[in-house]
Amino acid sequence: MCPQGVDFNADGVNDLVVGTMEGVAFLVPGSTSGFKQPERVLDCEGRHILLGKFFNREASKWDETDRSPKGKKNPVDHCVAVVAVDWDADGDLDLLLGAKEGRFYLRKNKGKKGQPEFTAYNEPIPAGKSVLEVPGELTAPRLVDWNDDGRFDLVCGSHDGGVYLCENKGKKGKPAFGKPETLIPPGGQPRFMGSGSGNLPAEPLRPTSGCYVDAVDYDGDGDLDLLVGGRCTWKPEERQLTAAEQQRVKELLAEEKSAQAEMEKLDAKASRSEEERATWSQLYRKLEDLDKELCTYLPRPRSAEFVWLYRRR
Amino acid sequence: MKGIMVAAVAALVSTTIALERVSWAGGARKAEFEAPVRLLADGKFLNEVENMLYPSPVLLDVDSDGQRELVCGDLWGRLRVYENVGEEGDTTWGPAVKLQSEGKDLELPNW
Repeated sequence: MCPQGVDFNADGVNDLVVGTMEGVAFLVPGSTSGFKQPERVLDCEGRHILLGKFFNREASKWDETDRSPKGKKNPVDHCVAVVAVDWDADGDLDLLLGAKEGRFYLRKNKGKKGQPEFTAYNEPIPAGKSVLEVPGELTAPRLVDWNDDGRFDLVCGSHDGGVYLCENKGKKGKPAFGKPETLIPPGGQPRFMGSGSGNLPAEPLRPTSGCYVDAVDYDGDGDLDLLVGGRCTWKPEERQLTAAEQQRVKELLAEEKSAQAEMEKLDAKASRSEEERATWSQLYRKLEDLDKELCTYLPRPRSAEFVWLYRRR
Repeated sequence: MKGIMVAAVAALVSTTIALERVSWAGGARKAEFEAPVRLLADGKFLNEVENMLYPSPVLLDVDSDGQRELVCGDLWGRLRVYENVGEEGDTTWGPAVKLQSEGKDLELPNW
């Protein structure tokens, strides 16, 4: 979930536009007294802004729908990121939707500044003869003028740890993006907790997966740096344990085994109730805490998420 | 043995840095980055205490004080705000505070 600060409703105060794993676009309206409650952004037909796949709250299950342009068929993509931008330079904010699968779609605003009327279908963003796509499952795109040519370019992180740049070679109001260029290569490490290989560093060196990026002039030197939130896995060096520590390790391993068994039971279910989803989240956190403590005793691969600065030279 | 390990780690660091010196076709400009560093908040590695999953950082002025704060979203739909508590020209992030909405922690439904 990645917020964008923008004056969406043109009232002079910054709002937040956010895409979440639910698959729909959210607005958190700002006001002079603070932020209001989040609301789902609607299209010109009063429907949620989404792609093909989404979490259906009424049915409490993952669901699919079709919002393809007339006569076309989009893939069943899952919207995870939303950016408000004046794409066609007509003075109002359109919506760029990022799909987890790596593709991008546009919802044009047919309304006015502050009174949006978004089209009811998802228009794929072209790139040459194909569609714009980044590798490694995208997290969230940012539109910034990376190469200082007056046009917004697209910088995007990915779940594989890579960060990509698609330069805008179009004209004002008609963006045209080139193929993704690698700004940061993929991390080359397993994505999930406890699944590290033998070739791990002894300490965190860089984010290697789940990379969310912001391109900002962090140090005020006039060029854009990268802020990257991401996960990394490392393996601390082995050490000798005291008798008390060995006992604690035994207890922790037993607790871990029990929590893993409970989680496997929930994972095996085709659908889960609200209560079961809450239990799953609790177990996930418990396993993370157990793993964190075990890592202080055992040289097992350890994963954690940090925020990193890639300062541009 | 220790010397070999130090050399191996140094080689790994050097490879990592080299991989991140990347240029792209079509222009003389290069995107070269220094080796990544982990940000600190309140004197600890950011997220060491918060334990966010999939932290998504962005610099925003969320309280309209004319200064950018570091804002991080997470998988659970929450947003944390870090104020810059450094002296002028120095960036030092303070402790995380959850972004509020109408007196409560702001939470977006994630799924």
